[in-house]
Amino acid sequence: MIETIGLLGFLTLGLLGGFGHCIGMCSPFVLFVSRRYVPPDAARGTNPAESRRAALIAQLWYTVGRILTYVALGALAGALGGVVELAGALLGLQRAASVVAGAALVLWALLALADLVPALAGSGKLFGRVAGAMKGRVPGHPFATGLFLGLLPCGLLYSAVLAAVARGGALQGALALALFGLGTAPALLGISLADELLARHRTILNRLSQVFILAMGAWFLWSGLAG
Amino acid sequence: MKPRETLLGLLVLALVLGGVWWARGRSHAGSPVTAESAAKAAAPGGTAEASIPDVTLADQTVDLGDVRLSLSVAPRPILAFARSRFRARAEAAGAPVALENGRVSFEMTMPMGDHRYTLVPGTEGWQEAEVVLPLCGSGKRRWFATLEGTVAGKPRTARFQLDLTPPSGPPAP
Repeated sequence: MIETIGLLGFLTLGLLGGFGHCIGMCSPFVLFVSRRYVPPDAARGTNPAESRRAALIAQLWYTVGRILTYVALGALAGALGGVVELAGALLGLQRAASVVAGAALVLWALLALADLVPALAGSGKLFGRVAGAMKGRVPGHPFATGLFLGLLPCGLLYSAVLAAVARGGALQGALALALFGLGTAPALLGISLADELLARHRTILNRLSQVFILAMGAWFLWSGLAG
Repeated sequence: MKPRETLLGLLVLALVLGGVWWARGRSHAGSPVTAESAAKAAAPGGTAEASIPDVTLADQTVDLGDVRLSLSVAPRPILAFARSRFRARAEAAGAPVALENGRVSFEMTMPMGDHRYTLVPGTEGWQEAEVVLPLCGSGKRRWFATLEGTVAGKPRTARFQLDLTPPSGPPAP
């Protein structure tokens, strides 16, 4: 039988997983959130303090959304008392989420990088049309993005959900996954802060971040489609 | 940008990287065979994984000298998100011996949290646990199982490996 993890264990699992796992898998989304949701004036770097504050607020909303999705999954797992059926249903949903999120990252990064390729940047051309098509299709608030991205396929999250089953009960499962989500936050907020201080206001590093987002978006797209 | 912000950014980045180092170290702590595997992998032509018995297709036994530890899995293929029955048994001089405080834990190269199962008495001298393992989003399928227990008053450990099959994966070979 599976050895029950105490509530504190879920916090530790999130903390360890945040640094050991989420840093690799979720950092493109953290970078995306800062770039997507920080007001243009703040993002231009004229007021670094305001920019940092705006980025932090966006990241906190994103984190709250993500944790709420985890809480819902934990409550479901705890209530059902059996994760196998839940996991099977989730797998299809999470692959679809991976495709949508990957496509959004790829399109967003291509749009951001388009001005490097004058032939592609002309208004009315392909990217102009893509930009028009994307408008309003990426959630307008980081909270909604967090709610959605909480559904991304993640082995660590699966592990936490599996362990939450042993807690027995929806409330216990929800609480366990809330602590797990909280545990993952320091690593991702740390990445966001480092990005804000080192990369987002430096042209070359910002470009590299966009290329990274593009590559990871392609990877999420591929892994969602390939299953 | 001010040098002060750059320094602060580098400090934050160093803290994050320190966290990564800490987390990676913690997630593989307490697994004595991991250190052995790492040493083998570092050796020329390292065969760390090849030397670990693979239970993906067949039951396996590790000979510890005076004691042999066996691990059996059913059904096969070993599906992710499905209940698999892992059974363990200890033998000495060709006869089953008691495996006390038996447990089996699972890990993979990506930190995937605690997957520890206590073995309970089964049939024919086997001890067993019903195990559910998740898929890693990175696409990695290989897991490592560490079987631990006490035989004749001495702690024993054996390590095995296995490949998970995705739920929609190919039929059993």
